[in-house]
Amino acid sequence: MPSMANFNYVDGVNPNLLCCICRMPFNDPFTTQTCGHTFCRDCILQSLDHVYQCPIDRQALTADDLKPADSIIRSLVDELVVECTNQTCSHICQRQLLEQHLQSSCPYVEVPCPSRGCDQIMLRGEAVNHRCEYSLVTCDACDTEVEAAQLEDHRIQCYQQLTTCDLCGLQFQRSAKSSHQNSCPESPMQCPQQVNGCSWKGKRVALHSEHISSCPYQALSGFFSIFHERTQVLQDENTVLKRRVESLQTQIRTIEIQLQSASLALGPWFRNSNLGLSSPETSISDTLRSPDLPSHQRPRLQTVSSPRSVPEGDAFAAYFPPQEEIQSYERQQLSAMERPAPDRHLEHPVRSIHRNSWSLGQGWDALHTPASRTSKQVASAVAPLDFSCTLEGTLEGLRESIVALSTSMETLGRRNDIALTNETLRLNEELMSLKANIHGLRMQMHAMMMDNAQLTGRTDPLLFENSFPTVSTHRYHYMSNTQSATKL
Amino acid sequence: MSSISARRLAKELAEIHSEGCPVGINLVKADDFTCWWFTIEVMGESLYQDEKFTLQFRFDSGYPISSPAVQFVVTDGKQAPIHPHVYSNGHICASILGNEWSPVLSVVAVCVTLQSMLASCKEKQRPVDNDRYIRHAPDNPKKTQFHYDDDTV
Ligand SMILES: [Zn+2]
Ligand SMILES: [Zn+2]
Ligand SMILES: [Zn+2]
Ligand SMILES: [Zn+2]
Ligand SMILES: [Zn+2]
Ligand SMILES: [Zn+2]
Ligand SMILES: [Zn+2]
Repeated sequence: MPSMANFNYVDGVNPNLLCCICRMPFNDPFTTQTCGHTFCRDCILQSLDHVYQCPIDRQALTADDLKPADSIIRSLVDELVVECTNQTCSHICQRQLLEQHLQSSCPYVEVPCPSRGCDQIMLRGEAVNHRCEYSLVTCDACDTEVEAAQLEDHRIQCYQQLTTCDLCGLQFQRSAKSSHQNSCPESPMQCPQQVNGCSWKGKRVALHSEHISSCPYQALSGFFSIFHERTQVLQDENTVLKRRVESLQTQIRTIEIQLQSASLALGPWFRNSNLGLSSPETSISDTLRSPDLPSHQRPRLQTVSSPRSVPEGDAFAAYFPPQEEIQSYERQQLSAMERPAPDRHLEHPVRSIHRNSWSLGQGWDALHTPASRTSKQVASAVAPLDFSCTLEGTLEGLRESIVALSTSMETLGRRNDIALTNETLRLNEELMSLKANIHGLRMQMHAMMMDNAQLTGRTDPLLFENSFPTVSTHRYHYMSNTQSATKL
Repeated sequence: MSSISARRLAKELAEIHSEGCPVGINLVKADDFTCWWFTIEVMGESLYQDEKFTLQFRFDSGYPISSPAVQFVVTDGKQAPIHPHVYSNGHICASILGNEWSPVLSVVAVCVTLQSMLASCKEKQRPVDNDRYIRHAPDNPKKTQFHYDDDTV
């Protein structure tokens, strides 16, 4: 088989199993009896056509000196795993089994049509579904297999022949076989009311002559037909309802997911709207839409921190402590400079439900603490966040606080500016008077030094005229220092 | 071209790409399985210091049973080395390219043999019959019947 030279080996091959001529694993290996070298049979025979020498050691060699290689070598190369030589086939197997695969099972091998007489060539994989005029088909009248092209001719003859019914012994033409099967009095039948529960079985003749007239189910056939009709209507209705429930379930699931994300985003306020829901006379939309709650609800909702009035308030009391708690907490913080308290609060069960509350609590903490720390007055002026109020109400309140804060900051800034200007003016004046004092002192000092120079007899007018007094004194000190240093 | 020679050459080329050529030998082109080019330099002390030659291999479908046609390229300004066994048209008188060819030899093995042939050269000179030979030389050096009189050089 020429294609055998084109094996694709799946794994790496031991170099000792490679033929020196084709550099591939031995294919049908033969060994020289003279020098013990092994080659593929085809390779060494081709080489011997060229020159009567061993290609490796150039010893004289003829085809008679070759014998099949050792069975160990043969099995080593025969058991190497190769791909099927048909590119489209993904089959891999031992090399010795590939021929078998190609001959009998590879679906990509071209084979003739399995029907005798047809000379079409096709892939083996396609031959199973191949239909042609030579394909065998079964005659419906006599159950024999005939070629498709001859079926018509066969039927013309076959249909005319007489046949005998196995059950009733009646003789008829084969063409009438199927119609007789539907009317043979001896053929086994079941009661037509079987669907409604009749278990009678018997011959066709007995069915019509005996059973139908006495069958209790047959007597009720009118009822059954009405009953069936109604059942059908109910079934249809049920199907529609089932579909509706399914769509509603999906909608609920979507809404649940949306609600979950909304609750995550809202944090503690989400629970608050639940509180609104828990009172039967208030709908969720009422609580959400009207920032101004009906007056009778306000006092109740504002006492969230008291655990007696609202059970959930307990959880939030940790987050939003009343005024005294905040102040005591501050004192605690200022003295100990440790902050375990807020984190422990956040470990509360609520956190697992509203994960956002963690960052929210921190934000509140960060915003609120420094403001109250700067001045006790401000801290007491700002009320703690009221989580019992609606979200919109709280936001509105916060916005108002911010507006007020910015206004007061502006005022503060302006006041600061004025104070600063006043102070600057005052300082300027002081500076001027100091300057005048210094000038007077300088003049006095100058006069004193001139006197001193005249007394010691050292006149150095340049030094005094051109130099700034501070510089000259510095130089003077420096000189005296060096002098003393050299003396020492 | 028979698939055996193509597969054998594909294998040799893959080895060259993965393991590289020996020192002084470089693959220039191997676009198909009919003609490959290598450059060849003699490393170390030799008469061919700083000279670089181009070697051409031509393969037929009988490879590796039949030898490749090997010669130096003498076109486009390229020169054949001046050597007692190399004609000025690039043809080489070497026994392993003729009657001592063996299918177990490879392209790289031929390159290495020719490299050592140049390295062991004692005197730069053309073969004595150079002018006579190149006047009648066939295109394919395999068609020439050389006399391998002096295997020591
Ligand atoms: Zn041998
Ligand atoms: Zn081989
Ligand atoms: Zn296959
Ligand atoms: Zn067919
Ligand atoms: Zn028939
Ligand atoms: Zn019958
Ligand atoms: Zn019945």
